[in-house]
Amino acid sequence: MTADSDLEALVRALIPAYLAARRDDCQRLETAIADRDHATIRDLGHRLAGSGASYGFPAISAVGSRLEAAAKLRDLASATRALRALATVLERAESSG
Amino acid sequence: MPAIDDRENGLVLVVDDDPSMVLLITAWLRAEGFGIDTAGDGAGCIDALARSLPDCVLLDIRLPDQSGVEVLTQIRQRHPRLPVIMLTAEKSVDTVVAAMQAGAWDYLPKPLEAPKLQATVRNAVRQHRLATRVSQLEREAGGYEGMIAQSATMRQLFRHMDRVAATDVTVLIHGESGTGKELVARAIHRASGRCDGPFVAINCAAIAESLAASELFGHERGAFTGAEQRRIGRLEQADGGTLFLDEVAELDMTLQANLLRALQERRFHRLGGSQDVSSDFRLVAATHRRLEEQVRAGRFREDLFFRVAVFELEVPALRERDDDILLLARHFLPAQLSLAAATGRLLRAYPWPGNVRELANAFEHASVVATDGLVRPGDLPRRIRDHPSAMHATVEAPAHEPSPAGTRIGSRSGASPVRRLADVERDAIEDAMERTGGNVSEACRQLGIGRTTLYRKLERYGIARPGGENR
Repeated sequence: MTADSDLEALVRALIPAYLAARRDDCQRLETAIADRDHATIRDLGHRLAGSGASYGFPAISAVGSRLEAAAKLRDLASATRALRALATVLERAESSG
Repeated sequence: MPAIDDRENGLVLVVDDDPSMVLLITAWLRAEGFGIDTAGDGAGCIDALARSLPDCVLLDIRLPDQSGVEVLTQIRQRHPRLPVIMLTAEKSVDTVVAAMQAGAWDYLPKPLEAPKLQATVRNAVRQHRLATRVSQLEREAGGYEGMIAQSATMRQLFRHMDRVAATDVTVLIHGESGTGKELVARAIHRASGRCDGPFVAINCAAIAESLAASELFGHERGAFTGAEQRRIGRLEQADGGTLFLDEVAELDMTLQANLLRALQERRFHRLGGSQDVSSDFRLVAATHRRLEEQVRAGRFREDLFFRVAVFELEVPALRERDDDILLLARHFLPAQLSLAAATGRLLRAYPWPGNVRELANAFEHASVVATDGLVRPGDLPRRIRDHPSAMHATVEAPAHEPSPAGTRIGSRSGASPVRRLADVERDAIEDAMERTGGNVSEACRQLGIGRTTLYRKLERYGIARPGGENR
């Protein structure tokens, strides 16, 4: 079947679109925090936790878990800090790509 | 996303509401040569399964419309053998335990790793294909779900039945009267994921027009004079199973409209009722008429035709199943009786307008009339033994047949068609067995062949030995 290097190339090709979609998530998270919409924060956090490391970005998964936990505790301050951390992680990922 | 079908390596249905995960999993699995179908929620997953049955499902445990475990339970009911791998980012052990108890084949924690995912899917697909092949071979060995046949046309029908049984699509069965359309419908039900549910059959030609609506949809108490209590209709009885509408072309136009609505909305009212009743059934319909012609003649609604004729099956007439006639004859023949060679020739020559049903009835008649353990042409019903085909079949002897090459050996009629060599050989063996009373040694001597050859040919042509003893 496909060699490891081919598979890596395949996944690398998907990364720009993945990071762009996470930028959209930042916008949605900002709105959700402003609206105190804990359900949306939790859903987005859950998705980030599942997808980040799968794409090779464990830091995104870690932020996702923090967002999920903050939403469960209805802790908007923690959610805001996690959002800022996500923006930083995305900047680094985009500049290294 | 439509399925990228690559049946050679296996089709995988990926169910996840996160488009990024779907893209990544698709890339990983396509790199392994798998075909991919996708769905974003539980309802989409069930729709996809009805469209085309995959070899494996990757199912996220958290979906927007229902939980993955609920979807898994529905899949298990319809497709008990289909391996489902749960994907979960949940940390809770309880969720994983619930999924495994609901019948998950395996589970993979998120974040996912390509090698682990690919290996797990490979194993699941391999196991599913193996299980499917085993059950297919089991079926082929004994006909199909109790249906007896070995002709090429029937084997082709069995293959199509097998494919459609694995889905939930509506089936329309065509075939002349007596070909066994209901047997086909029952076999599809038994081979489907709905096999534990009810099989409810109704013959639309056999119910009085005035009672048909109540029969199909049921009625509430007091709905009409004589409706003393609530009655559950056939559509409702078929909940969780299969509804078989035989002779669907005979439904009147009003009922066709009501049935169409019930099929579209999956809900209906009992007569005299105002409450919605829903029923989850798979529809299998049958007709001996050409339904397209009924549509053109304005006797059948076109919209209902398209709703019913999603997957069409044609059950061949018995005269098109030459290889099956003697096989079926022996099935209907009581154990203490054998067929005379001339009867075998007659059975193969007669056109069987009433198909398998007529053959079964003929042997019921013959088993009463036959007196010495052998069914002769004269023991069959008059319409069969007096049929023009009977004269030719019972008088002709193999030695007088034209040879396959067209050179005639003692031919009485130069106009006779050339017979297949295999037919001539089969007749000669049948004659020898009959003349020698089943004495294998004597039959071998007369035919000029060895015992092993004779046994092989008896087996090939399905010829029974009178008395069944080796002598």
